Amino acid sequence: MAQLISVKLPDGRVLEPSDWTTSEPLYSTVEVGAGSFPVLTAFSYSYGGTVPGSVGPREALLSDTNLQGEGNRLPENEELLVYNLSIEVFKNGVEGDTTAWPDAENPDVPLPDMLRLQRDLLVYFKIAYVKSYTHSPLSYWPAGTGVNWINSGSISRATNGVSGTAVANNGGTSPADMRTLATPLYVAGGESLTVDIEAGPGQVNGLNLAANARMRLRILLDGYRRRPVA
Amino acid sequence: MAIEKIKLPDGRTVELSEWLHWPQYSTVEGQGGINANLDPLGLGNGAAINLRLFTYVVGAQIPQAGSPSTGRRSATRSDTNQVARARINHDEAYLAFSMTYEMFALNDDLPIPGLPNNVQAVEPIFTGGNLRRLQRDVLYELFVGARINKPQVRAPLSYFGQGVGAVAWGSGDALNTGAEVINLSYGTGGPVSPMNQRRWQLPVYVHSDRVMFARLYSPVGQIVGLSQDWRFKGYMDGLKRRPVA
Repeated sequence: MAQLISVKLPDGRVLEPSDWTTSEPLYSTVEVGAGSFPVLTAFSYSYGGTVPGSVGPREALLSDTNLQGEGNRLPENEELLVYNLSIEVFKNGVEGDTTAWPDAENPDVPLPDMLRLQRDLLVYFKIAYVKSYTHSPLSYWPAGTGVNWINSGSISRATNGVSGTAVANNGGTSPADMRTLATPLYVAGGESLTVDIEAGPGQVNGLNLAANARMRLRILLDGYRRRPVA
Repeated sequence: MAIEKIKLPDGRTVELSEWLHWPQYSTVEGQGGINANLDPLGLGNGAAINLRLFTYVVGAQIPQAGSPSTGRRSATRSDTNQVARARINHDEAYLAFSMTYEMFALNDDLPIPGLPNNVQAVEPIFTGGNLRRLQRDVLYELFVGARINKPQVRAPLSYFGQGVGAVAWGSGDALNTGAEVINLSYGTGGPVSPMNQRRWQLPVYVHSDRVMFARLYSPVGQIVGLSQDWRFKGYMDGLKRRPVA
């Protein structure tokens, strides 16, 4: 076997070599549609599983999650010290009511819908499943990613070029705009780990999406992550 | 059985608890556009505000100023995460480092006189002009302790940067929905970012079971020119102590 998994010292102690990285956040995706929906649980599946809330549902790609194992928990040979929780939002599909707001081109989110998501969605970070370590609105967890736009009389193809539009981001686009936890959250290897997305009113009121359209939420846990060296 | 206390060999007792980065939030609502038909600019006034936040839990009525068009409603978990009315629960404590807020409109902005199909914002977009009027006239306060009239925090709303909310970009071209044109106005309390939240050098401690509430108050009474019904979600940001059980 070529993998270096453990080293037994002369005194009998066993060391398990591993490396810590701060350059690979753990992330997972859920999708929100119009109308009522149950709690959507991110990190409940791994690469190849199904994305909660998606149409189909669709199979998760590496762009949806990099969690390995069966989901709902951190692999035994990893550890996580979370300093940032950030959430990106992408729109996939078209508006339900095209007379309410001039639609934006995918994957940009129209300003009114972003405000509705921020107003109604709640985020619960659960470790060991029995307790929530966060209970706060989506807006409290800025993406820290996105596009800074400069437009000049730009029109939206989603309106067949008859109108402009206005798009929004979940908070600022810079890593400096991410919220840093004053007390980091530790997740041990093998421990249960999920992020639940819930709408307080049972749905995102007024979310302007067609039946098969979705808002894609990609949740990133950023900080120190221990992985095996093997 | 939950482990709440550990008795040490020397007789001392240690109570286990944890401190979490945990914002407390609470929502209030108000009416705008009062007597807009008498206003040459078509704006009207906002109802006078004297509302307390953190004074209710999920299921209770949300405090309102005037009569917003959406009517009375019961709070959901999106409106507040308070577990006790107007106090920190007996097995918790709070160390507040900052306060912030976010605004949502409850109705569309009123049409510009002479341009009946033109508005500056549709709900839940709150116009920059309306936010500036609140910044001008409204105080945001935090009180700790029963019958204590001395605020631990009191400043004009403009003093508090917006650390939560949506950052937006217009395409530059008119927003045409067919039935109406939206001459978009959208404003936030400074650049939306946690870095924009003013952090106090001296945090405010709220002891277990201590009475506390925040207040949104307009000493001037009605707010001239406030044209939309509104929802204010106020945050107290900091560390919460809770039992580990």
